[in-house]
Amino acid sequence: MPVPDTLRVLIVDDSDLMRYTIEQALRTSNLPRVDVVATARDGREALGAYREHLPDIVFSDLEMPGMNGLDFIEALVTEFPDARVVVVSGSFNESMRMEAITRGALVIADKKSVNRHKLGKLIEAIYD
Amino acid sequence: MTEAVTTAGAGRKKRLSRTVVYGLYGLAVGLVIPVAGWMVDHYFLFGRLPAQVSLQLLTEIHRVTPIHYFIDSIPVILAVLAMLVGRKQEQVVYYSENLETLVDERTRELNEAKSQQDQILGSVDVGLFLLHGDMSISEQMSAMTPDLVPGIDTPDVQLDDLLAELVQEDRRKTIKQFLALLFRANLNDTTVDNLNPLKELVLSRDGGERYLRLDFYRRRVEGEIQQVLVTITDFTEQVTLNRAVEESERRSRASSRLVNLVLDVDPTMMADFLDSADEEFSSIMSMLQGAGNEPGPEIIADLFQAIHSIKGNAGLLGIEMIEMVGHATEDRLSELRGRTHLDALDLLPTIMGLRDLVNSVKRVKRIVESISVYYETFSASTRTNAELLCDFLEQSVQQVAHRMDRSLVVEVADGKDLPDIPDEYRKIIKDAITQMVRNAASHGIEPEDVRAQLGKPPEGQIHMAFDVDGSELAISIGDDGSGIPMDALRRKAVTTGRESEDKIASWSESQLINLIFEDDFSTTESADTMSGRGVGLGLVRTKIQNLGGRIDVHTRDGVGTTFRLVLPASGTLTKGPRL
Repeated sequence: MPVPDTLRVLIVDDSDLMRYTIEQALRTSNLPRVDVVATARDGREALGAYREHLPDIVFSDLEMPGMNGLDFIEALVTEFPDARVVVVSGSFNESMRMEAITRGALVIADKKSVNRHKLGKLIEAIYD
Repeated sequence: MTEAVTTAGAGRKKRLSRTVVYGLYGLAVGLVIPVAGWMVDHYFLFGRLPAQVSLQLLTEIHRVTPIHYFIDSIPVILAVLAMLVGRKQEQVVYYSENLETLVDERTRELNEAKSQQDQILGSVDVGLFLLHGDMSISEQMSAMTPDLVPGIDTPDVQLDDLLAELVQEDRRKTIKQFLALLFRANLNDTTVDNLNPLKELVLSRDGGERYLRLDFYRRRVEGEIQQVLVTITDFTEQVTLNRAVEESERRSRASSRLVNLVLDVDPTMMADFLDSADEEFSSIMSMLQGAGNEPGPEIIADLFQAIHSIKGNAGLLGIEMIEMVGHATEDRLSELRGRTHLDALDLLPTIMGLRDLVNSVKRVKRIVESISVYYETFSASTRTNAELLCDFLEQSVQQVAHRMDRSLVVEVADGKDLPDIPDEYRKIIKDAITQMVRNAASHGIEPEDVRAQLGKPPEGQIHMAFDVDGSELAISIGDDGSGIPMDALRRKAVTTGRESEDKIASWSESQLINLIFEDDFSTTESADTMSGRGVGLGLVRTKIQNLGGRIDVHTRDGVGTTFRLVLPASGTLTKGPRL
């Protein structure tokens, strides 16, 4: 499946700075058009936003107050099996990464290496 | 299959012949009907009529009832039909035969592929097998696989269960999760590879550790992953090697730190420290030896004093390593302080500590020595060739004296006013010195008791002198030994079958002396380690001659032997070698 002409994105992170960073990285990447349809600060909020907007792709942190990333991914994939989730996290160990993928995330990206080249490539790989 | 039919020439030939045969049969059978009909008509109906009328009637019958035309053409029709049948049958036979060949070929190909596969699986030195979605393992696997992971060839074994038994409990869940992810088609290979927790799998086997790496190659069929090719490589050697490299790096870092440290210390202070440490060690040794089986409390105080002094001096110079070892030894010793009764075993930990201390002082000493050798080598490069050769003689004599347990002294004449010696002579003169010192020590210089009887000084004298006479440079190397024994040379010449006894009696001394330059001629029977090695006098002389020089030998019975190397003073670069 090719990358859609307009990529509709949901960004889930409790940090304003991180949401902004991801959004900027996506906008300046080589993707044709990126539309951030919604952002959320925790899992519960994100689940609501997904139901409302049905975005193409979700960028989610793992450690968040309220419903954390792992529970959010599990709930989301149970409800929408085709949901594409990219985990962007700063602190994770091997078992945490494995858990995120096991629960339904597609890719894990390191928070420190979020940049336009990396995210662009990552999305292309998902749609490949 | 069609291709096989049209290209097979042998099959075509067979099919044609069968078609013809069938056609002929058809024609023959077909002819029976009109011929039989005509014969019946002729004999029973028109039998009494003349043949001409009979033929007319036949024609008439054909005209009246045209079905006779059809009856007449039956042979041809039957022949054609039979030919078609023959042809068809031929095709069927041909196809079935071809089919057999094709099946044979295909089976052979498959067998070949199978044996190739077996060969590959048997010879690769990695573990190789297929993993199915239900975690079952393919029956076929490389021969290496069960060696690497014991139990993997058990029937019906599940990879996740097998690996779970091999790893720590906290890793089991991660590994199971990962193996399940392998079959999730929506994950890309990089993501999966990044998560691989089996890139380093440590197994305890045969008392050692084996390091295994498992790699997974996912095979997609129509988007789904049905099988995963798993490879297992053993990289234990690499790990062991890396560790050895790290260890040696660590050591060389420690050494280089020590070298830096030694270089930072003032040389005189370092020398003082090493000397005083030696003194303290020898006093410690005599203390311990004197202590016997029941060391008194006073020895503890003395030992403490000695070790403390070494430690303190090391600290002063900033040699932390020695300071630390000294400190540890002090600690062990202080445990014994205040005890009224001691036995020899109580001192054991201290003695072990002392050994460490001695070793660390030795290490510093070794470094100091290497640095000074280094320094000397470099500073020596400003010295003249004659000076270098004098040093070399000194070293050679010391070495030989040490190895052969002889007392030898060196005396260099004209030490102040040494001539220039061309660089290209240096090597050959060194060779000559080596050879001549060995000769002097093993053949010339008498044992000490003999020398005493002869009124000679106990140390054998080896002297070297340089002189320049016009265009000639002469280097004399000699000893004050017994001289070359002419009688022994004569005897040897006879026993080795060189000359007859009568003839040898008339030989001059110089003729006899010439014998010592012959390679296989030696007056000592047993070539010991010293006199047996080296390039040999003969080769030395040949090289000297090649440089346009010669060797003169002066020997006097009981007084000594001197070899005089005479070379062109200006070197060969201007004169060229005389060959």
